[in-house]
Amino acid sequence: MIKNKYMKDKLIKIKERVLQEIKEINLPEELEKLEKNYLGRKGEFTKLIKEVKDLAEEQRPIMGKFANEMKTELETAFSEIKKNISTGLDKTKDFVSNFDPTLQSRKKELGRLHPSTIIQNEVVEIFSSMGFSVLDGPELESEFYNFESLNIPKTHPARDMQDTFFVEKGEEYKDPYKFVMRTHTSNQQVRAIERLGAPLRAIFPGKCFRNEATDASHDNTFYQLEGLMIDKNISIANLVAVMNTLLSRVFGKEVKTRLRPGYFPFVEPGFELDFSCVICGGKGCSVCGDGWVELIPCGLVHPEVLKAGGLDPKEWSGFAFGMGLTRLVMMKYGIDDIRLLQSGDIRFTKQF
Amino acid sequence: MNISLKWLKSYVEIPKELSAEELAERITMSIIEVDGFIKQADNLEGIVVAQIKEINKHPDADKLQVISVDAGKKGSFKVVCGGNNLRKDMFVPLAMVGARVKWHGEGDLVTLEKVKLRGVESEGMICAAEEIGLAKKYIIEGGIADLELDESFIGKNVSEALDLNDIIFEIDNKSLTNRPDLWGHYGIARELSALLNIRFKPLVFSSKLKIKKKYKLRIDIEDRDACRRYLGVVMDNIKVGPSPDWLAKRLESVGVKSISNIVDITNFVMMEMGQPLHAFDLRNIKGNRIIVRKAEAGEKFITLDEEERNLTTEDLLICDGEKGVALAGVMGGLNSEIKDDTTRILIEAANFEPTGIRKTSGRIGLRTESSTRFEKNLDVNLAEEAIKRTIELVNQLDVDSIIASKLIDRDYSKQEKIKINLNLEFINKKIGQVIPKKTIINILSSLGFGIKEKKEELEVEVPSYRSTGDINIPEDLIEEIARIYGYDNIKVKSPKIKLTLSLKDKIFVVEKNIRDFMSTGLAYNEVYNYSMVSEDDIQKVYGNKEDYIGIKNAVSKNLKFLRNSLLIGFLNNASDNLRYYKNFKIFEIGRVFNKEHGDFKISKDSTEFLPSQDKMLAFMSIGDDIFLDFKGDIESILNEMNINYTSDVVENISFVRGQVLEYFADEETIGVMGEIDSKLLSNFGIDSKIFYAEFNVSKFLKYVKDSKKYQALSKYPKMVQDISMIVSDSVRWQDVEQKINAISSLITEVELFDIYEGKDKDQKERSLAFHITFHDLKKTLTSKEVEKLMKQIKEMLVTEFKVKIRE
Repeated sequence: MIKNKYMKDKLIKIKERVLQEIKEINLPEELEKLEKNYLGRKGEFTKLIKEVKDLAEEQRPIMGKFANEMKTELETAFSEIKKNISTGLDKTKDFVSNFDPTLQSRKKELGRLHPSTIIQNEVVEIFSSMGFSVLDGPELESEFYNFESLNIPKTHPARDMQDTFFVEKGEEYKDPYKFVMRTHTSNQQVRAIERLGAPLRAIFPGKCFRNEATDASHDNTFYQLEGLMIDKNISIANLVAVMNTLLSRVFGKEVKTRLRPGYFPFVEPGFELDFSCVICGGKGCSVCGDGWVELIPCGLVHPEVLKAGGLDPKEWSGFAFGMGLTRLVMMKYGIDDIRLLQSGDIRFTKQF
Repeated sequence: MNISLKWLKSYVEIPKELSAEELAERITMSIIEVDGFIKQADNLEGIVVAQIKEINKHPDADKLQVISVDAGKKGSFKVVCGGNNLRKDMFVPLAMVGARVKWHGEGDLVTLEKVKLRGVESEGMICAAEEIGLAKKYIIEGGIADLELDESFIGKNVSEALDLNDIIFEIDNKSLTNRPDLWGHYGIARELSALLNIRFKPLVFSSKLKIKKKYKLRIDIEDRDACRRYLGVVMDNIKVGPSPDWLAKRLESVGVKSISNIVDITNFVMMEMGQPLHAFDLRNIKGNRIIVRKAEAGEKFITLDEEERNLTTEDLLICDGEKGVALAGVMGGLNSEIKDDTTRILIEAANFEPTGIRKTSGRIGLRTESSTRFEKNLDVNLAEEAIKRTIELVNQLDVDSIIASKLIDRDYSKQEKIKINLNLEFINKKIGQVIPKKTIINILSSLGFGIKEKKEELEVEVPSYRSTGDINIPEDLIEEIARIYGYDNIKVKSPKIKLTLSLKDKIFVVEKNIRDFMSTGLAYNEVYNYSMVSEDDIQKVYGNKEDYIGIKNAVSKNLKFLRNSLLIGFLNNASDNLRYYKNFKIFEIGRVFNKEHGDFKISKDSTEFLPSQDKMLAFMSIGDDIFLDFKGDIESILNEMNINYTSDVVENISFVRGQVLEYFADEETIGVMGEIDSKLLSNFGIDSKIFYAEFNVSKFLKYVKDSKKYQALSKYPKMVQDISMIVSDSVRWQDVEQKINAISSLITEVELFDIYEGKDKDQKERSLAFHITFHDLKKTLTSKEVEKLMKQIKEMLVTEFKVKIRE
């Protein structure tokens, strides 16, 4: 009887001690250790239970049952706490009951890139991955690179005052060419050939200027991305292949394109490359009109341009294209007024 | 330009199964861009022929009548109408409910609904010609169109009754820039015959004209570069009157007003062949004589539109023995226009040099059907064909008319016959696909090219209508072959090329890094500004016009100068954005322009360089108490770029109040930073505090290092000590920091954490508190060592800067 009482007390004491110790535990490994110390094969509690068999015979079933109850209670406590510890939660501590997780957050002020930057980065990345070089060039340009080297004759309407910004030229200059704000990124075609020779694969993104009145769809400032590829045996079939790859990457899906005649003095043959509107799926909508978006004037490089760059047109051929970055930006984000792009309005920039 | 399908069918038989949509697409894909098309019948839908049965007065309105009409199978209707020419049994167009009309011929189309007009319900509308776009002959001032039909038409659609079932294609004129041969129906029909492989019915002209020589016409060309060819002929016994139906209808279908038979014929030939012509009343051609010369400076001339034009010596003028009679290639003169009683006419068909015509029409702001065509460089042979066609039509329409002078032809043109040797292999290489020789020959000859077959080559002769600068080299013929063959039929093929390394100019790499860091790292919003600024803006920033490169021909005063800093754009941005935000940060990377010479060559062989156009990075922060953060932003970006920089205080920078900090790399200035002067800000309507920095990216590019090297992590602890001191406000922190750092290499950081300036404005002192971090990478520092260093520092501060250390 004494032994029995003594054992019962001991079991209760151990149990309470274990429950107390469990509360103070934070790490799974500590818990494991604790469990082993008490409930393991050589654990303190296990040892005590083993002593049941030394009791008087009539005591054994009573004590055995009691000991098992104690053991179950402990095991439950361990498995409970294990769940909590493994999720990292501390539910044994009092929870702050008046905490409101729905309170409004403190807004983080983040800066945003201009949408044209975002699209230009994307397109540059695509061409870089196809092995195109990315080259820098001037915005204030000479008539030589902007017109002359591109087979655009003096009498061409593009060289009229109403289309091009002519820039004052210092009296110290001896060179006869007038200065203009470049009307297209094509000004870098011959610059690139002179610099890198052939074979050549390069793009030139940048700001361009037209001396015209502005409205929602025209601005005197816009962005283009020019590309030039020169090698042996470059064909129309090659040009379309590269353009298709580009557009599919930009829009993240196969895009239908079509080629139709277009006239630009620095390419022959010259094309307009349209792509099937991604907004309406080519059915026709307010953005595209008839389902096609006119985006990339292009063509095979005119022999006169190759010559201007010092290449023999019998040996080399190539294609060039001038993608309207501004147009692409407006198309991709559904921007309906081109002037927003140059407005410096943060409410606009913050949306991208 | 408008092109009528019916008109095209005079020269080619277009397959019936081809829909308007398909035809428009085929033309766009292989010839020129079709903007859209109009089916004449579409706008006349729901408008039927009706006969007036009864006319009653409107009970409540004097000017209105209530009309009962019979529209046969469509029913009988009561409509309210104000027309002044209504009579019983008249055949009128009835627009039923749902039809679309233009009220009084103006504005957009409106869909008709049942309405009550002054209390009487109108079940539709009987229309005036202008309201439903009928031809001129149906237009009656204040009246309803009198269709002059018979009973058999009652209830039929007006489009059917009047045979208005044409389809009109709208061609984008821009796509015709290099194709002078396509400025009329005839040329487009020729292309269609090649494209659709259908027969082309060419116009044939009798080689002999029946001339009854009554008049001696004399034509002299003074400027033979500007007027390359001039043909003239006199026709007599002319009766000026309205055009026959077919002619008026043709012209009106493509949007040309019918005026009178003679004028209409010249317009018809222009819309047919693309050659502008002019007819003069011979009564007003003094001496039966034409002289083509440049105008005198200040010469005045009144054009057909009754405007007086001031001419220059650049403008070409058609004159008679005394005076100007037409502004060459642009518009005829009021003094010699065809009148109702004209009986003798002089017909002109000429070829003018395109640039001169463009300049004249541009300068006087008068673009006509004629000038638009001459600008494109017309075929010199077209003038002859066109005048013959005109004579023929005048004879046909007016059987009494006679050719009353010789057809005079002054031809000074130098258009050469062009022959091109076309290698078959070359074609296949350029297109990227083998196209059978037979197909090639077929395409070229159907476009009118002459072909001589050689072994591996074709000798191609270019027809005169394509020898206008359009086709000169084999590549031009590739285009002809490929577009008619169909670009869609070319199989896409990736280029086969050698693997080569690509290059990215460092500026693009650095620019991208800066942009990413400025936006996501430092929370600046990116802006793009115009490169041009106004004189007003320059004054507002107290700039000097002389320091800016000017634009010679700006369309607006806002575009007169090129920016030489990003500041002006930013101040305008600040002013605009302050309406919506109190605090904000913006940045821009963009080129600025300066008169000194930069790095880009002018031309291939030039030794001179274009004006400097460096790329600048500017950023701006607006708000209170922003200085230390702003300066931190600058340092972050410079550190991020891995630039080894120093900074120093400078004065006299125009935009700044007080002192600015200038940043250097290797003793070269790379940027400045400061607070913008408040008076300058007030010029832009700003009363906030603004800090601004501008760095020259093109310049600091060479100092951007992409190499970083790992340094072993120290196993030994740092020790931090604080100092608090009172110091004169003339002492600069930068000097204090430098001196402390100079004491020992064990001092790794000096960090200012508190500045107290006191409330008394006259107080010349401030209190500064800072942490000093000591760190030895090789061993643990002892407190003794640190104490010794601290003592040294304090002594230095007291002697060098006369500070009071607060213990």
